[in-house]
Amino acid sequence: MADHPHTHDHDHDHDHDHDHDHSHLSEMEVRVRALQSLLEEKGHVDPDAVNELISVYENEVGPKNGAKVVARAWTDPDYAQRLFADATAAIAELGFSGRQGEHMVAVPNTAETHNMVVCTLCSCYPWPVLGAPPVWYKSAPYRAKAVADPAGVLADFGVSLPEGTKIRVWDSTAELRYMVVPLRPAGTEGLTEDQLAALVTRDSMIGTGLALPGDGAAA
Amino acid sequence: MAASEGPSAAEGAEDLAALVRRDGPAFAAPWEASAFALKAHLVARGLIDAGRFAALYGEELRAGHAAPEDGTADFVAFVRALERALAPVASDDDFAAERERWRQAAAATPHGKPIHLPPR
Repeated sequence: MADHPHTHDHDHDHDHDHDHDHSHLSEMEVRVRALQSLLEEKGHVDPDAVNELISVYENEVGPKNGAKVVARAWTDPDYAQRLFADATAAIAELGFSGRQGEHMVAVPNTAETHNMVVCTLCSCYPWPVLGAPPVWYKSAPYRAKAVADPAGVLADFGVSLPEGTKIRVWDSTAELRYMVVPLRPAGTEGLTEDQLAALVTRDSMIGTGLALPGDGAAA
Repeated sequence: MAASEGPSAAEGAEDLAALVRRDGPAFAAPWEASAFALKAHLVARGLIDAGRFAALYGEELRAGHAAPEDGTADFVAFVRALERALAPVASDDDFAAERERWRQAAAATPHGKPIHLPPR
């Protein structure tokens, strides 16, 4: 992280077919740089904090943090209890925090109920734990179908649940972000927390997938 | 208002399966990641309100923007919503002037060197 350059130093593709020897910024690069530099100058943003956030998005986008939370909940019943009582605090225990100040709620899948997360208004997403949201999460088809036909969404993702499983859909807001704690796969009693975390996919924490089967963990 | 901002169920309910197979990265270009990070930071600092931003973003998405060569139309809408949300602290003219400074800085920077704004 420390060696990630300030965003103003970001390299960009350059058209070598013409003979200009100066740098070029695209119109959108110029617009975003202007936003950032003007706010920095006016003292409205902390440049170090913004650049750290940018490097998170550019380099650390992935669901690894959330997978650690799930693996801890699977192996430590006391932690699971804290997670389901106050997810914001329990996630912070592992060093992950939502700098947007949003409140986190963790919802456990059970044999009877499968949970799925959507944001119907915009694309609210628990990025500190799940990384950058996938393209489909922000799409109109997902946002509409998760509410109208969640079983159909699961079918689109190739997921089939035991007959009779209820599907509960949680609609995120700017203030409240949900993550799903998937069911621990059978036959994983001997695995370490790290091995378990490798089974926890991003989609399983959105509820459009399940955790990977335990026999894949040895690899 | 909020209800009308959600997508309708009829709109592309059949398209999700196709979208799922194109499960690419959320950001098409670094400027998209920068804009997203900037918005997160400004919300965290309380300079913009997350709900107000979401409403502006919805307006811009519905208004529609042309996709740039280096990114997606949705993030053009996102950046425009961010500029509008910041109206209390910086006007469109302020942003336009700042953009011009960046263009000039780029033009004055040899290819391959980091681009920095000159002092005012």
